[in-house]
Amino acid sequence: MTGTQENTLARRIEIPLVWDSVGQVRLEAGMLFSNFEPAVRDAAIMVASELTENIVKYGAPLDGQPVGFVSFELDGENFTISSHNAVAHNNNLQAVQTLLGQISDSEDPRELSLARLRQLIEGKIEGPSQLGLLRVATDGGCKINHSYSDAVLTIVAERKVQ
Amino acid sequence: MSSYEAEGLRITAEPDQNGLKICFLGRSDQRQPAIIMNPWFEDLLPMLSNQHVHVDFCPFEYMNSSSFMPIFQFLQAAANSATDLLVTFDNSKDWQRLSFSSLTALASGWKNFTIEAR
Repeated sequence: MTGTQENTLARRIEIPLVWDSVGQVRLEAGMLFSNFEPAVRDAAIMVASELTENIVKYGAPLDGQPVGFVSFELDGENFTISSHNAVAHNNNLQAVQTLLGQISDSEDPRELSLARLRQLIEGKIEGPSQLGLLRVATDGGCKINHSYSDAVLTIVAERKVQ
Repeated sequence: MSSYEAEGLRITAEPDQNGLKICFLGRSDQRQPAIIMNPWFEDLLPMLSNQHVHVDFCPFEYMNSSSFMPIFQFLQAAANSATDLLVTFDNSKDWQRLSFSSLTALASGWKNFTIEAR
């Protein structure tokens, strides 16, 4: 962290299920983390962007509204970026839960990511690449937790800011 | 010179002193970047045959994870087509260093392929 800015924050942003939301979240994240070292700021922007892309791609209306949410929290030592959304199809939910389980169980998520890239480039995988969550875990340096309750999928990405 | 531009992404291809230089500029953050990029790559690939090709990502500002596959697949095809392929990226940009370290590992068995941090 640089300068003398606030070292705590909490912010929740509504995400309409349209692609323009991704750019809006990137701008918001850039402003929220503007006083941090570039590596932390860029990681926060990337993590927020990838989570928002997933909301827009795979999300479903929440309580009848075509939106999801992204939350930012900073407690001084860690930042947490979370996505909250309903899921359009059960197979999407199962796929993301399987992948997050693999990331959680993996000693080296980068190896998992590389194996996925190899399978993709060899044409062995059809459907979503699922590289976004792997990137959050690897390039973003985040621990990822998730839960599914009352038809809402919550994905929590957390990393140290120093 | 060939130039392709859409939705904040620009790719240029022009002769340099060694052969052909391809530059990625701007951002690739579209929902389905392959739909935009693959026709450009299909146009570019015939130009690479028997050429020394340099693909420069240093000025590139950002790419989302959906961009990885179309770009990496293009680079693999380019390595097969060109006499040799040099990829450069900006090591001072954290996202580039991390993303292209994945490419370095992925491309370890590709022939005619070199990747350099600058």
